Amino acid sequence: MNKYDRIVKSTCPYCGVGCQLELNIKDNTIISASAPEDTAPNYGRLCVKGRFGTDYTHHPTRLTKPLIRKKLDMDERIPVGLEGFREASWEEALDLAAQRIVDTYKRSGASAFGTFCCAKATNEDNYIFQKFVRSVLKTNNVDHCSRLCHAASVAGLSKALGSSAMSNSLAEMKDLEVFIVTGSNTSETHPVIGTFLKEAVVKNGATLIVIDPRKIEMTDCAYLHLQQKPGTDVAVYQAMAHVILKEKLFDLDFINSRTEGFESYSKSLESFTPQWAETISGVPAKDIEEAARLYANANAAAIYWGMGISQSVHGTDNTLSIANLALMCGHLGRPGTGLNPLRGQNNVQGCSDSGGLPNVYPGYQNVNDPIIQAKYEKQWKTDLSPEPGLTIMEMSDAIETGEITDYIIMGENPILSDPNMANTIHHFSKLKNILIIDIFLNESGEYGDIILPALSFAEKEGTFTNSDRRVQLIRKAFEPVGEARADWQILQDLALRIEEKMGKKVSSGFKFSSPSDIWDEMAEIVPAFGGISHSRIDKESGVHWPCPDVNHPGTPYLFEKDFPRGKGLFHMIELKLESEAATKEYPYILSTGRVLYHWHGRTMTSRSVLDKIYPHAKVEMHPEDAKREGFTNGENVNVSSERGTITVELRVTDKSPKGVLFIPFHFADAAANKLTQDLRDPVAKIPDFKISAVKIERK
Amino acid sequence: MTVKFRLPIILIMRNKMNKELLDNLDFFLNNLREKSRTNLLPSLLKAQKIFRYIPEEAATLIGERLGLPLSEIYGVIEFYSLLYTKPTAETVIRVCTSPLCSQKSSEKIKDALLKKLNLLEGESSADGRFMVESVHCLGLCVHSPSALVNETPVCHIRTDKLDDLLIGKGTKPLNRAFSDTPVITERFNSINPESFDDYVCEGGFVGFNHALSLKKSSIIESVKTSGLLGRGGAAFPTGLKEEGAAHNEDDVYIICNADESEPGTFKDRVLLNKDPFSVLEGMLITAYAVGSKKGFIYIRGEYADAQNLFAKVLDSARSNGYLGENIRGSGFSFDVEIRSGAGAYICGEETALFESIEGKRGYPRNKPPYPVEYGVFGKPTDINNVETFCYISHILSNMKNKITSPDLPSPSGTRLFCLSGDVKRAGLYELPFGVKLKDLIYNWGGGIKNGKNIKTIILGGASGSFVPEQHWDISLDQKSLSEAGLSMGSGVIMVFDETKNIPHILNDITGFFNHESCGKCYPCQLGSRKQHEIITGIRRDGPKQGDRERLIDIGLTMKDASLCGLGQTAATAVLSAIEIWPELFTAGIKG
Amino acid sequence: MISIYINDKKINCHEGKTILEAAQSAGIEIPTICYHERLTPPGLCRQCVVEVEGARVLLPSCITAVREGMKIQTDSERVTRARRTILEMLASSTDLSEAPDLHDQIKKYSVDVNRFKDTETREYPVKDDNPFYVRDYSKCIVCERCVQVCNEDVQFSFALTTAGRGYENRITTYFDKKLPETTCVFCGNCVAVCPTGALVARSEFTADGGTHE
Repeated sequence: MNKYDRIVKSTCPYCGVGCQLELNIKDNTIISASAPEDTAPNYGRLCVKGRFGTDYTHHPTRLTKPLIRKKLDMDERIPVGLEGFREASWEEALDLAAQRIVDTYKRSGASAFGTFCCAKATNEDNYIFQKFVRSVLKTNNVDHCSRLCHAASVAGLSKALGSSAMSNSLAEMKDLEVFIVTGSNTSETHPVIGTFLKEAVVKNGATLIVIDPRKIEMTDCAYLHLQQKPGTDVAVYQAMAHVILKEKLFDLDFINSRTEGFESYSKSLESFTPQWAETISGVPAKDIEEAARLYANANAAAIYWGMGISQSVHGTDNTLSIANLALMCGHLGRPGTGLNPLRGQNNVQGCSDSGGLPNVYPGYQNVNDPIIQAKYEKQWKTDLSPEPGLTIMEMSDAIETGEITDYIIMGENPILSDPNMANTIHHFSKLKNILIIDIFLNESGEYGDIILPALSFAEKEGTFTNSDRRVQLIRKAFEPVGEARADWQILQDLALRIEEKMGKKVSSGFKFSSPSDIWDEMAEIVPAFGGISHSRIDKESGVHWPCPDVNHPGTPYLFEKDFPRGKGLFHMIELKLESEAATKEYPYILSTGRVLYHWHGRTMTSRSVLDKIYPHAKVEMHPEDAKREGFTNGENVNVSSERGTITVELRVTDKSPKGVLFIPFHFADAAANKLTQDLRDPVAKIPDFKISAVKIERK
Repeated sequence: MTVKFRLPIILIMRNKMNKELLDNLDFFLNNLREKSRTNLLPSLLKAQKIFRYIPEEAATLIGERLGLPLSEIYGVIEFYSLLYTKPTAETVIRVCTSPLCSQKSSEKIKDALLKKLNLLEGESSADGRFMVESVHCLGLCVHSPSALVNETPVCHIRTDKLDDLLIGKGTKPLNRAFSDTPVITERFNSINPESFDDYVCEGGFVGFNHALSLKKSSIIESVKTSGLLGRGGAAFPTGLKEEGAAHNEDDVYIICNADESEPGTFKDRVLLNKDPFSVLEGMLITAYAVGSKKGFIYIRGEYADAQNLFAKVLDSARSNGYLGENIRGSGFSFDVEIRSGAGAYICGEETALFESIEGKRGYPRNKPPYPVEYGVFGKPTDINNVETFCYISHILSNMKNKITSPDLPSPSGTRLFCLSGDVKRAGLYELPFGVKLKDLIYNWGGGIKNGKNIKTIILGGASGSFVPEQHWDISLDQKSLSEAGLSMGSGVIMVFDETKNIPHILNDITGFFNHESCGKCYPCQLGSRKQHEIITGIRRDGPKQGDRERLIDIGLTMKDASLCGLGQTAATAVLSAIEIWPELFTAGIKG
Repeated sequence: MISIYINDKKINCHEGKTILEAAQSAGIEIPTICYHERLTPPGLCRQCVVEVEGARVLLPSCITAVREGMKIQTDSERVTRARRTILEMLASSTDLSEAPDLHDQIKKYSVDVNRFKDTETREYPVKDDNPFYVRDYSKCIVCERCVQVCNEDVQFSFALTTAGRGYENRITTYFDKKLPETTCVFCGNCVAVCPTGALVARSEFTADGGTHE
């Protein structure tokens, strides 16, 4: 029909499922979105965000011209709206940005920079970003929001297996036999994955075990729901391991041939009985036993998890306790098995893959490995720093000490996403120089000095890598708004200018004419990407890495023969309960998270029709707690922690257990992160978003 | 794995006045042995009874207790005619508008009643006391025109007896049968239908006890040899069906289809009211032969009398050791549950009946697979008509008593004929196959009332056809009928005299199918409505150009392409009328 | 592999396939309406019926399995009459203006869309009760794809159901509530499978100049 001028295939910009979209374009506008029915991973399915939420790309507040703060370099940095900026030409803005960076570099050196790349931008955008930061600014202080998300999962899996990505594929989901979903409100955070998992249960007889403090929607089709007290995950998983050991349900062949450390690990399990775990977690011992038996006895069993596991002061231990189970039972390296952290952002996997991390180059090659360093120095024709850089929260610490004075932020909203908002604001205010690359002016942008307008996913070419390591394409669907430019182009331009100002004789290479060329350069140095190119993805619609050469079909599931570190390693774990505890003054535990209709800092979804269906924040409270406190559904309440107070609407529901409240973190006017604290997992450096002690009072 | 369903949080119990009634419903729900979808229809019928309709709060409570998605509950309520989402009334009068009652001016009586009460059809009076509706065939054809006042059948209703009608006062149906060679109607006059002892005295359970001593294959063989054909209308060999069901490792279900709703049929109502134990005995024999532990009897919602009576029969059978665990020490365990219909003719179709027992809208299923492979709950099911089960009990008791007769080579050699319309003696006749149609009408039925002549005869009910005059003396056996392109169906013979009007009769028939089509498949969903509109137009204004061709196309499309027997036969009457009276459908001539 | 005959032509196909699948792989076109590749075929539109030797009635090819030696006619007189009449009746019941697949069939089977013009159409006011999609049930052909998608075929949200009976069958929600008051999560998977534009993204509906509350 002539309803549309053209239909452009792309990938959804929201979550890590990576649904393939068809953008229906008329008059240079996305009129609607559908999905091709025969294409993986979603086969025609979408959720409300992918289906109806791409309209933010046309919102009138899209940044169309570079902006420069009217009052630069004041003593006090205050947040300003659009009226606090003046429009400038690209020439002026880029030159000023480059100059300020060069000035800082000359004055304070590489360690003065903290940089945030973007889990929503493309692999190509991020590759250029970290190349720029490393080869021009000579620092490894580059990080991104996975620090606040699956950092602990990544740390734990690295330790246990030497890898850190979801091990099995979405395609296997509908045929699962037994699976555990833990710390993941899958039907709200990864809705299309939720439908495949439900299909596995309802149509194909799979057994689902949900391990989660909340009665999330996935429990509707769960055979077992283990509802542990927040923060007690390790007790449950160690106890499951204890049962599997005691009843000899482990896979001895697998343990002997593919793992190490089992002996000391199994000895350490003695005291972790189900009965003990019941006293800690509140989960009945018989349920722990049944869950353990179901998991161990299955021919193939998989574990899927999310923020409930990772966003914890014990996130790494949580992950290791889960990895131990999989290694013990041999549920790895075959279809229907695996250790599967469900990555949140549309390209958080890709951003990590492309080197957006302080300790590794693209392809998870260590910066402090001399061989790797030499390889990249050759590729980028410059010397590079072998010192691992700072993580996001450590950058915050460095602002406090004065070491970091400049932030470069691409497509991020730390003011809303970092814990303890008061602290974040305090640090942002201390910075001397903030350069922002984004499509909208969000709460963090309001602290910026120079704002450079970038392109949305629908205005540029590039690749996203979804949660199951599938590299997919986005394609230009309509002409860019105003003078906005692709992130990679902005960064190239900036890099070249800085190289010139610094008098660098040999450029590290920032003259790419297309994202496809950028990818090709990355594929040269990252073995796992060797066989992937834009043209191949165009033909096949997606390729799972590792894919070392053009004849390799890609790898839907990992670890068939071995693990990246060789053998899987068991880890002995202690139970620690170091999260903030409830007190007399702050008697409730606050958990934070997301809802179906919004995305994280709400930069996109507040500018979409999505906002109409869920316009403001709500705090979930159990009916018995509400009754005791005398609250009614719908009234406004104040929720406070030691860090701050917010006013929010009450929603009475038994979704959260007694004594636990839940607030989504999307809304700036009722920011859940005003209440959270920066309590970090020592290995992963991820904050404990899931547990804060709060009180709740009538407004 | 069963899935629990989430209730939208917005739904809050609003109406405090309903609290006591809700508690009443909750008590019922909490005492259900199986709190799952299969008990949806029983729960909705209970709610209908308690509240006189089904308020949202009641439906939500049912959803919560049975763990069902709310949208599905609403879809079910809206399918069945006896379930309402708006308040009905203390007294609901349902006047039959099926062909026989309609030809006896039931519409006029209904209109007079509405005028008297100053109501529209389906409208509940402001004081909540009365509501008047149309209903299709109550199985009271012998005493037409008839109505149902709440659960009470009232016959021979008249425009000058409306006050009586309002309080359910009037003629009650006479349940009797006529026969020279009675087999299944033999006990009618000698037993109290409720009495276990009477039944046993008159040879009851002889067949079943004999069956217990036989090999299961012998039982099946005996049914096969008898040549018994199903009496519900499809005439499938019963023994073959049993054989199919017996070859199964899985649980087998026995179902008695007592959803008799074919206009002109009343035989099952009479059987259930006069000799219910024999129906049960037939089920027991079949259950034993095919290896079943559980049976259902699905009785249409309008037959409350039969439901109440059968409940007593089941209790009595249990306390006398003929139902339950280890029956008569044989090791065979079997029990039967009564399920009520809720006002949908389509639920007499076997697969739609399964859907109804499963708590769903009564949509027929595509076949294959057939019920003996995949029936209720997806399990093998042996489903038979009421009359068929009665014959089974006699086949086995005859085997025991070794009764043979030259006049009646097989105990299943008779069948029940439902004769109604303009004959002197409308009624239920048990006669051997092969009786001539003219004999049945003139000798048994006494000929036409008031000295009139026959205008037309319909065989098989609303889904049957008009009989062309050259076949008015046809022999009523499978072969002769088949050769003439006719069918007995459920045994219906409707006779209309010269004062009756064909377009009017046709209009009643198409009105029936328009009301009863389930709507699943397009040929019937659309065709039963379109054909009704065209016939209504012909009745009112005479045929238009193209009407005949349109009716033929619709009719053949429904016949060829409909999903189930309802659609496939919904146009039979129309097509046969076009054959016999083409002038009625040709433009320019009024019928 | 088994052999069947479609329109007197011998075709080899795998056992367990449906007649429709076998025909499609042999390049023989059979029209469908309610059938959707990713959903459980309900076999309710009957548009795909074919004539099979030995069967009394026409059989729906989307759910009938092939058998060795089966002889199938996809365009016999009985078949084409059924298809034409179904479309003629449908055209007088529902607004088919946004159903391109049906337009093709109407052309192919020489359907007279005005044949039943004197009968009642099903018309309903447009339902515009949420920010995402509009329900214009005057265009609904009750193929029940949306209900399937919302229920056990894809989404398991159970927001939509079929209510009524016969010609009055209609797609709706629990007690006809507005969508935001139901379990609908606005995934729009129903919109994606609607063949007639009865369900359409609000952004498309208003772009077309559609009227709404």
